[in-house]
Order: sequence, then C-alpha cells, then structure tokens
Amino acid sequence: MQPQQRSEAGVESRDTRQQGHGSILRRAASIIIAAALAAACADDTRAPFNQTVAGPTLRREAPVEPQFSRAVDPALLTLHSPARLASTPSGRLLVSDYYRGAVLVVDPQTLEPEAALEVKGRVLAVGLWGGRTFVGNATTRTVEVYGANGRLRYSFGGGAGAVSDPSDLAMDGDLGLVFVVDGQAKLVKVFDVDGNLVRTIAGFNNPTGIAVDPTRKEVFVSDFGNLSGFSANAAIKVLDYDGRVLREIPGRSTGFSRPQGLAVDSSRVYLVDAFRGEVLVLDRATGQKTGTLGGFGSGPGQLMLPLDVMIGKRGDVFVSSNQTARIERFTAGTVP
Amino acid sequence: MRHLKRYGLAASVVVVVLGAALMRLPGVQGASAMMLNPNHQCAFCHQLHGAPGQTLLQNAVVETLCLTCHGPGGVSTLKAAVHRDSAASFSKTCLDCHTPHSNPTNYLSGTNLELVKAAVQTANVAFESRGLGLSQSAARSFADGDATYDGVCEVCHTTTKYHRSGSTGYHKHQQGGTCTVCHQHSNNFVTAAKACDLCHNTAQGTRRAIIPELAYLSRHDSTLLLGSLNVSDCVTCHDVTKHRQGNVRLWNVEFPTDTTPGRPVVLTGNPRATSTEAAKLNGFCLNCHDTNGASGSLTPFADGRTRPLIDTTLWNASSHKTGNRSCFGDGTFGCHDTGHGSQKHRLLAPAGSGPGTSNVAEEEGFCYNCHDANGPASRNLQTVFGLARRHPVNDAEQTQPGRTVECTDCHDPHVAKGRARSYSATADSNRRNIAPVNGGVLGWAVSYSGLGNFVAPAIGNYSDVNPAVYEYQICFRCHSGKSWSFGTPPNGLSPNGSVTTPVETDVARDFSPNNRSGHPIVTGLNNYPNSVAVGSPARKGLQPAALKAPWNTNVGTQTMTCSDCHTISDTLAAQGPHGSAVDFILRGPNTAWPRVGVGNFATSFCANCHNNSAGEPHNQGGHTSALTGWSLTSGGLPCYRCHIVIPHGSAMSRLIGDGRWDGIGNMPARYAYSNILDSLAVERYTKMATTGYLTSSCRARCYADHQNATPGENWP
Repeated sequence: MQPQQRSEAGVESRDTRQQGHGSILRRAASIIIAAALAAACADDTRAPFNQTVAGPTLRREAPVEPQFSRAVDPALLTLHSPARLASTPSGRLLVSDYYRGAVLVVDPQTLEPEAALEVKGRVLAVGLWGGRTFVGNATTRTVEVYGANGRLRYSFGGGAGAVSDPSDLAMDGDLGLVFVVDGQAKLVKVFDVDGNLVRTIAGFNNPTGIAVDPTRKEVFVSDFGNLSGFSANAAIKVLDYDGRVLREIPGRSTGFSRPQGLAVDSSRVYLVDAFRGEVLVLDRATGQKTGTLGGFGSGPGQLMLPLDVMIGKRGDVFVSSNQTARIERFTAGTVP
Repeated sequence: MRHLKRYGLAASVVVVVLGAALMRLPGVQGASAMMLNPNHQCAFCHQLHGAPGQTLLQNAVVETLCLTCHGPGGVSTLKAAVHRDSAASFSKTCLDCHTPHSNPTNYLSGTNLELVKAAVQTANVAFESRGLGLSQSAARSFADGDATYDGVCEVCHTTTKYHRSGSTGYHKHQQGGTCTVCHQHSNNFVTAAKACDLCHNTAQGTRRAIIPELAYLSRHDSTLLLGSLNVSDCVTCHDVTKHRQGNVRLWNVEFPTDTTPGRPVVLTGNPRATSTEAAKLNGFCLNCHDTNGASGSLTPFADGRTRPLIDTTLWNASSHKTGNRSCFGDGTFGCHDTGHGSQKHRLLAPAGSGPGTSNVAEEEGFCYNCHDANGPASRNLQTVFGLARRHPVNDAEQTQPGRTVECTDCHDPHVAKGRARSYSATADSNRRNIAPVNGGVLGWAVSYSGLGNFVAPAIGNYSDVNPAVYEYQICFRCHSGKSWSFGTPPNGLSPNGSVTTPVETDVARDFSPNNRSGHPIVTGLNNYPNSVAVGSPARKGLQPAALKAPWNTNVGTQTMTCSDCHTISDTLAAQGPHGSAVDFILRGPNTAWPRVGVGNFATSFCANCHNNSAGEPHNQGGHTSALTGWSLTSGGLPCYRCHIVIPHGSAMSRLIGDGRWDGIGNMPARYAYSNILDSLAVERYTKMATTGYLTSSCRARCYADHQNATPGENWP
C-alpha cells in the first residue's frame, strides 16, 4: 500500500501547483463549451429523451443469469486478453477476452473463469439486459446479441447505423437502450435492445469507454483526445441522453492520458488509465481525483494495460488488466 | 494576457527541455528526434515531470505504452500484438523492430509508416534492414528473391530452426509478398483466419479469383452452416508450404501433410486442358469421396456436411471413367472443372456459367454436353428425350408439383456402365436384376407378405434398398402409391398424351405376386399364391408354346424388367424407358395397343413376346369376326373387350377385366379402355388350359351363350 499512497500524494501536489493556471483555463473552457452547446442545441429538433410527456417508453425485462457452456476445454477456460467487464444478475463477472474470442463468466471471489461464450472474432464491448448478452465484435464490426443459453440470436450495427468499431457499450436497463462507442467513427450510437438505431451522439475526438447512469440519465465517455496536436487532451465527457455536454473532466489536470473503461456510482467516477496502469477515483460532482487504485506493474494488485473497471454488487471494484491477463479486485473498504 | 504570456513561456521551456533530453537518449539520433508522424507527438509518450518510465516516458514499459493505442481497445486502426513465443528468447517487443523516432522520411511524407528500425538486433548480430528505402514493401518481404535475407522478418527467420525462410528453409513461400499480409501483426504474426481471402478474393497473376467461387450455388466450404470461410477449409486440400512457386499442390487427405514424393498432388499444368493433369485429380478427389472418406474419420470441411461417397471399384469400372478420364475429364471436357464452387449443382462444369441452353444447371442439359448428336458419348439421349412419349426430364415438362425426374434418379454417373442390351438374353429368375447402367441408385423394395389379391401395399410394406437390386425397385420410386403418398394418383401419361384423366396406377399393386395374374416383374409366376395352375403339367404361367423366345423357357420362374416393355421404339442406341414414339413408352416393333382386333394379333404390342397359339380363345371364330356393337372394323374383338388395358397385373386370371355390368366387383375403371367399364364385355371368368376353353368359361355381354355362364372368378 505504501507505493500507492505516495503516488496519490504526488498527484495531489501537482494538481495544487497547477491550480492557478488551471482555474483560468477552466473558466475560459467553460465559456467556450457553453457557447458551443448553445449553438448546437439551437437547431436540435430531435425528440429529447428526458421529455416528460412523450418521452421514451420504459422497457424492462426480468434479469436472467447467463448459462454459458461450462463444458469448454479447461485449457481454454483461462483469461488471455481481458478487456471489458459487465456484471450478471448474481454478481458474477462477464469478461470479454479480445484475443481469446470469448466472453468468460468469472467468479467474483476466486476470479477464475467458470464458463465461456465462444465468439467468432475479436471481442471488446459486453453488456447484459434481461436474458440477452450484448457483445461488441471488432472483427465483424457488429454488436452480437446472445441468449442466456449462449446461442446467437441476432446482431446489429452492420447496416444502417453501422458500427465500425464497437469498443465499449453501456446499458440503460430501464429504457432498454444500448449506448455503443464506435471508436473509428468517433461517435456514440444509441440503439434500442432490438438493434434499432435511436440516436447518434457526436463531438468526440477518440472515444474509448462508456458508462451510463440510468437514474440521472447521464452518459460518461472517456476520450483519448486529439492525437494530431502537439499535446493530447484526454478527457471524460459527461453528457445527457440527448448528447448535450454537461461537463468535462480534463485528463491533463486530473492526471490521466489514456482513459479507457469507466464506472460511476452516486458520488464517484472510476476511470482506468491504460497508460499509467491505475484506476482514478474521481469525485463525481467536481471531477477532482480523490485517490487511485492499483499502479503499473505485474504483481498482485498492479495493472498493466487496464481496460475496464466495474463496481461489483458488494461495492468491490474489479479491473481488467490486459497484459497480465488477470482481473484484479479491490475490496470495498480499500476504495478511496 | 499576463497569464497567457507566462503559460507560453512555460510551454517553450518544456519543449526545449524535452527535446534536449530525448536527443541525449542512448540509441536515439539527435537529429531525428522530431521526425515523427503526426500521431506521435512528444507529449503523447513523454512526460516532463513525474514520468514513471525511463526516458521520460509516461509508462514504465514501452510495450504497454504502445499497446494503449495499438492494442485491444486502443484508438489506432493499426492493431498489433506482441511477438510472443513459448521460448522467451524468441519473444520480441516493440522496440526490437520499431523506433518511434528515427524516420526522417516519414516527417517528409515518407513511406516507412511502420516505423521499422534501421537496424534489427538479433541474438548474435545486428542486421541492417533495408526498411529505409522507398520500395519498402518488397524490400521487407519474407523472400524477395535475392540471396540477401535482410527484411525485417528475415533477419530472424533465416536463422530459426522452425518457421525458417531462405533457400534451404522448408517455409519458403510468398516470394515477393509481404509477411504481414498473411502473418498479421494484429494476430501475433500467426496466420490470420482469413489469410487466403486476403489475396485470392481477386485474380492473382494467372490464377483466377477463387474466393468468389466459394459463394456459388454448390461449393466446398463451410459457409452454408458457419457463415464464414475458415482458412482450415483451404489448407485441408491445399499444401501452402511451397506457395507461389508455380504449381498448385494438393494434400493427399488420406495422409495429411505427408510430403513424400507422389503425395501431395502437384499440378504442373491446367487440368482443364491437359489429360495428364486431369488424371492427377482422380485419386485426389477420391481421398475424401471414396467410401471410407479420408481414412474413414476426417471430416474435411468445417461444416461437417455429408460428402458424396463413390465406390472406387465401381467408379473405375464405370463408363465415365473409361481410360485416363477423371473427374476433370480428359483434357477436353470434364463433368467437374473446379474443386471450389460452381454456379451449377454438384460442382458441375463449367463452373463459371449458370443456366444456359446447352449447358445448364439442370442436369439433363448438362448430360447433353456429351449425350447429344455430337457426342462424344455413343448414346444420344437428347434426341430420345425429344420423342413423342418420354420421361419428363426437361424442366419445362415437370409441371406437376413434386413429380420431377432427373437423370440421376435412375443413373449414378459414378457407377453407370452403359452397354447395348440384349432383349434376347435368357429369361430366367435373374432377368429382373438391375442393369449396370442403373447401378448405384436408390430403390424401394416392397414386402407383399399378408396382402390380399390386388391389394395395394401400405407405407409399412416399403423399405429403401440402396443401391437397388432389381430394376423395378427404381421404377417404384415414382410409379407406386408411396410416391404420391397414397393420395390422388398423378397424371399417368407421358408428355403429349391425349387420354382424358389418364391417372397413373400403383405399379406396386399391379405387380403384386398376390394378384391372380400378372407379368413377372417382382417374382416368377410360380410364386403367385393366388394364381391358378391349369393344364398338364399344371402351370400358373402360359404354355411355353404361347410365348416367343426367349420367354418360352423357364416359364413360371422367369422374371422380367419394366424396360422389357417400356423402352425406345426404334433402333437408336440409347435403350431404356427414356422415350419412345409409341404411347406409354412402349417398345417395338409391334406397337398396336390396345385398340387392335384379335384377328390382327400379329401386329399387336403383345405379339412382341406372345404367340397366338392354336386353341386359344383369340383364334375362336366369333372373336376374330365382326360382332355387331363389339368388334372393330378390322380384326374382330379388340383386346380391351376381355383384358385390362394396363396389363401389369390383374385380380383375375389371364389379365382379364371385370365390366361390372352385374353390379358386382370392384375393378377400378382406370383399367378399362378409356376409363369406361362398359367397354369391357367380360365380367366373370374361369381360367382354363389353352385348349380347354368353353363358352361357359366366360360370362360376357357380347354373345348370348356367354351371358348366362357362371364361371368362378370375379374381380373381388
């Protein structure tokens, strides 16, 4: 724990030193963003999601625990290249394995895979709604939807509203919406659970990860920033369901540069920085970093190329560490 | 404004310090530190303050740093996996082959976009790469054809024990190509699942485009079930270890990966144009398509579909295999001309063209490629299928739903042996056996046990027999009640027929041995339990004198085939029931039936096999002379006054019919002339020896003495 504490202290002190310049820039940025939003919304004739009279219809489906095959060759029932995370109704982890071409069901206590859903292609995004498992297939460039028995039911994103790179996805289980990050198109595409394109949200540089808060109807998108400029401007963009930017958490001042998967609860935002091998814990309201989890390395509790973070049912925080081919669990009591 | 000036000054300091630091780094040439492509600006990898890694890197391990963009979930389209190997010494990381800095040409719109290093360090020596030249792709090829193996992959893969390139290496292939076309960086340099697809989706030099063929109507691949082509589908047949060396090499699938000379098959020419090349493919195809598949266990393609099984012995003896001919023919025309896919069924040739007038997907048109007036086959079937009465193999004639017939319903092209048939061959119990030309075809057998006189077999009486043993078993597949599901029989006349409602009869019932009489298609007449033996010695069949050769021997045990009666009517070489100029596809030379008087018996169809023997009722004067209201203008009574017009078999002896004018009996009207029961004069009958007939033997309306007779047999 000592190295991690020193690391947190260092980050905080750097933030303090930059406060003077940062506040000026943040104010300027806020003015620019507000003006841009006003211009963007002036001719926005789309039906808002939050409309009370003619708003979206609630669409729920009773959660069903996936029953994927346990009869997989034991040699194959291992994590090889863990990427994105999701939780099953019982609290087990769904882990997409990029090179393995599978979605693995992982026990939250032992962190060992116990069942697998074979997928033909490179797998990134994963999510659940009712008895359906949504899988972003980077090879077929579609979102494939599997039943609880592991059989492919349908796919979408290959035609109208094409998804060229389904990097990550998040679900609004109340409205039956799937928010898909299309990394190549640099868009977030919103589908209903049947695969019908509902909305496209633009305004990103290089989006990677996504999280959704169905209660407040907020979308959190991690963005590598503009890579062509002299310096990158990684950020977390917080939007409403209509795509309006509510606020932005800048990476430079907060301390991240390769943001990937994120998770949110009522007060915090968890973000993995693939570059630094750590999870940043941020105050949801202010965006200020309150602490970190992990740290670069291959030892227990350390992360190499972490790609996603997930809050478990008991408050534990799970992180996929791609290069160590492990899932790391940070128990609720240790989360800053 | 004051703040902005301060900020700009600070940024300038950062750049200067960072640049100076990078130019002092070991292995980094100072002049090249700024030579980066636009996506690799300094601050994207380096961090001035608090950098956790060496050389001011934002990450402690360069490999992980690169993978943040080029690995899973990264934003770069150039995905890369690290060169892993089970042996640590063979694992290479990013900087072993790449440098993010040292590429002057890149910054000036150069071509070394992969940022390949100028020198690649191996375990023993640093190899100078030619990756700085303008012709990057060719120069970095796995085997670019020259004696210097110095491409970025070659620097190692000319010294490794396995996966070794070079003039002595077994893995020399793809000369002039670039390694990563197939061995993709994004897949840890392991051959990608669709590697073949990358090139062979289009024509490659003299090689035609192959992948599109795998979407044709019939094909060798797994796409029908699995939806995508897998490289394993290609390498099941293709030996790619000597790829691009001028020859198509095919594995002997019975002995996978065996490189023993003679295995695999090496095509040095075009099998479509050269008989010797075509001949090489005969055994290759049989590796999988013989009766034991590939060693009896290998399922060659990912979908596991059933493959056509060919009996090697029968194929080698078949007419289509004559001489050096193979699946691909003999250098002129073959039934197949590709193993990939065809726009016709069953991979038929030519693969690239669909239905047409002379060479269509429909198989009869395909068979006419050889079996027409121009040959080369000796049997001209195209002409036969143009005769007045014929099996409706032509699609335009297959108008009844579910009632189609194709050449392969009766012939297996991998088994059939065509030869002239001798109708004078001995008529014995084996005459019913399948002819070699019909070998290998499915048939239906019928069990008649327990069935009554003229009772139709039910579904439980049928069973498949594959291949058919007797010729009638093939005919039963279309002409028995089972073939129309025991419902309404279909139209029974061959094309151009004119008889009203000429529905078919159930030949499985017609030829039942439980009938009183019949032609011995299924078995000899002695095996007809309900047939009455008459004469001395008592016989169930006719007296030998009533039959012509070869039928005048073995009467009672002899059998016959359907094609003894139903065959071509003229002297064309193509025999069998394909077509005839005579109604009901009847054989000649005598063709009059059924409207022929007994006085003209010699011209009747029956006279082909039957004698009009002395003492038979046919010769009775009252039958041969004019009988008002019953006789024809010439020849007296026509056959149909006494006999059924479909003379396969009858519930009464001697194929006699029952006009039912007394209201008794159940003979279907279909067996009466023009479907009119009143055309029959007879309704009861007693079977007698040839010379034993009396007026009382027959109850008939045509003559007063017959009308009050009370013979024993009636149609039940």
